[in-house]
Amino acid sequence: MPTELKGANAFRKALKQFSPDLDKELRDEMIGFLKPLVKKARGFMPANSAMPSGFVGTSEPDRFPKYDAALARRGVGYKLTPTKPNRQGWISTVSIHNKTAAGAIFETSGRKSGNVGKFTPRLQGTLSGSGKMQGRAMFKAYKEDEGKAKVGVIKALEKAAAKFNARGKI
Amino acid sequence: MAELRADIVSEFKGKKSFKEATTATSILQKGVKKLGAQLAVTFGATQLLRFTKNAAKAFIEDEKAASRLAIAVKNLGLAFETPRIEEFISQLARTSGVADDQLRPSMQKLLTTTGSLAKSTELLTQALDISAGSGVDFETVVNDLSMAYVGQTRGLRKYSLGLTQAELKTMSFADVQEKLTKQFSGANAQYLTTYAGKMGILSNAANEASETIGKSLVESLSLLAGEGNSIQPLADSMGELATYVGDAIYGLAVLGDKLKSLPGADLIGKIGGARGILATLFPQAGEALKLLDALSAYGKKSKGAAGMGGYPSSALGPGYVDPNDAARKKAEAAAVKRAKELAALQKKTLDAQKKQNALLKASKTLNLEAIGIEAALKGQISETDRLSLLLQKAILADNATLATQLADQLETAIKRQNDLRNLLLTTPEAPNPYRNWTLPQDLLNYTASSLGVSVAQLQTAPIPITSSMTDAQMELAAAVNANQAAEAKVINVAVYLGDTEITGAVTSVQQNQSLSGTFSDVSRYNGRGAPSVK
Repeated sequence: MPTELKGANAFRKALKQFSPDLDKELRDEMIGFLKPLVKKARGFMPANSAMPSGFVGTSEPDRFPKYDAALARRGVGYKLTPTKPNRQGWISTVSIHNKTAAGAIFETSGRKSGNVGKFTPRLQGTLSGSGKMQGRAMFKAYKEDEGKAKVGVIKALEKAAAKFNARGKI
Repeated sequence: MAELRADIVSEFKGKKSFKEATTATSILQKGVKKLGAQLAVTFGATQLLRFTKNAAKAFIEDEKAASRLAIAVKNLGLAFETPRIEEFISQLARTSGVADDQLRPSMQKLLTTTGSLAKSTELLTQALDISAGSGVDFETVVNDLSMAYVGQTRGLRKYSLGLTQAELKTMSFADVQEKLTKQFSGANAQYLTTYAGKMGILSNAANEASETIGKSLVESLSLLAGEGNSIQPLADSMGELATYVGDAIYGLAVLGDKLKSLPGADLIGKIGGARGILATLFPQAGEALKLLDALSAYGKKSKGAAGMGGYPSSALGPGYVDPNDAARKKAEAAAVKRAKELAALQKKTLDAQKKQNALLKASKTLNLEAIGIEAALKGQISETDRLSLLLQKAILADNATLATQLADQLETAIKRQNDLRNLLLTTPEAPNPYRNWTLPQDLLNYTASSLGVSVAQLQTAPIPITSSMTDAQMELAAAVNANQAAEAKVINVAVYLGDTEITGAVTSVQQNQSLSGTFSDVSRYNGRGAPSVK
């Protein structure tokens, strides 16, 4: 479950506008926590040779996506800017993502139906996590991280907020 | 597929968004409500204004039609009949369900055609019956009747009177009218008992009411504007006035509706209509009602007599002598005279037509076609032509048996003719029958003597053509010479030296001389070129 941090976006805006140096410091600190997570998630992405041969190749428009290890790994990353609100009204302030279609297929295949059929059992790795946060790469890394990155990001934000407030006092 | 995302830190913005959406919806709702109210007011007022406009327009149109009719009547010398005409039209419009807008032009047309008020009213009433009975629209019927009155009966075919065009032409208008009366009498009365007829009367009454309101409106506006006064302020306040009046009318309607549901509603009629109801419900309004009555009476008096003129149409008592009686009698007499003239003219036309028909019939007895066939048969004609003419004759005589036989014969003849034609086309070209003939001796003798030479000379030596010869001799000599030139033969002469031909002998001598080295005159240029003998 994501952690709600009220006023985080407003704070980031204010920081960017009034204390760019503090903003950069905050960014670097958050990246320091997120990069290992992303690196770990990328590590779970298998090589092309380890994938079913029919699934490997170059994706073409309007066709079933093909897996390319390099592209799939590049598709895993982090984001420090707020997203648009989703249908429930939530905004993601800091997040990690798995952008490519083939990477997402590898991540989520068998999440609903289980390890059955001709495709899913041939994928490397096991599903880890629960519910919508269940996966083979990014979600697995998030699960194995056990919230360290989250705590680090929140603490970095709190620290930056404290610093920002301290600067404002006369 | 949407990208996968694992949120590290999030923020809930839903409440704010929902609040914004709620506020926006509330504002929209208020706006729509306000707009609805405005639209209702606008459209209500617009409807009322439209009705007012239409009422005024209807009155103006009606007045124009009445004015046209009045002028037409005046020009016919029947100006004194105007009130009667107006009264008749009003009454007919009320009872027939046909609008006075239609009746006035029709009346005008009939009056100008007949010149008689009595005849016009009779025809107008009859037109109603014919229109209801035949389904043809009223104005067309009036037009057809007015045309028939002057002898043009072509338009009457559509009424299916069971008469041929020739019969219609020969009939007088009185006969036609009788026939029409017999066929369509009572049709309008029957039509008025139907739902459509009743609706027509109601619709007509509503239109009349609209015109009356329009008339009062226009007159009131004229009165209020006065001479030289600007009507603009009044026009500006018309919208408000219309809305107010409309609301009041609606209120009255609602009141009437409520009253109907009360027990003893049938007493309303007994009480005395709308005025009676008001007097019963509001006894304290007695003075106000009196004032209204007085106002209504004054308005009626001020408006004067309605219609085309101000002549009183009511009877003024049994002893009253209408000063226009003489003029009326004179006009009717003139119309009767005109009708008689028309009848005489029609009779004359019919007589002429009869004579023409008789002549036509007589001309038919001279069957020019048959005469032509007989004449053609007497000439030198081929077999097929003869058969064709006979077949045509049989057809004219309606002799089917003979026509069939002749048709078969004609077909056979045509086939035979075609076979012969094909045979001629395939026959080879015939040779010249004189090809083996030789010139007779006497012809040769004659030619030789004509040219002054012997017969032998004719074939061997050319005949000299001299100027002393006649033209005929010259032509004959030229022909003989040409014949000789054509028959001249080529003679080849060969020269031999011993047994050898001379050219071969010369060649041998040259070769021998050359081989022995004595032949030095061989012309060569640097050892090239053909040898030649010098």
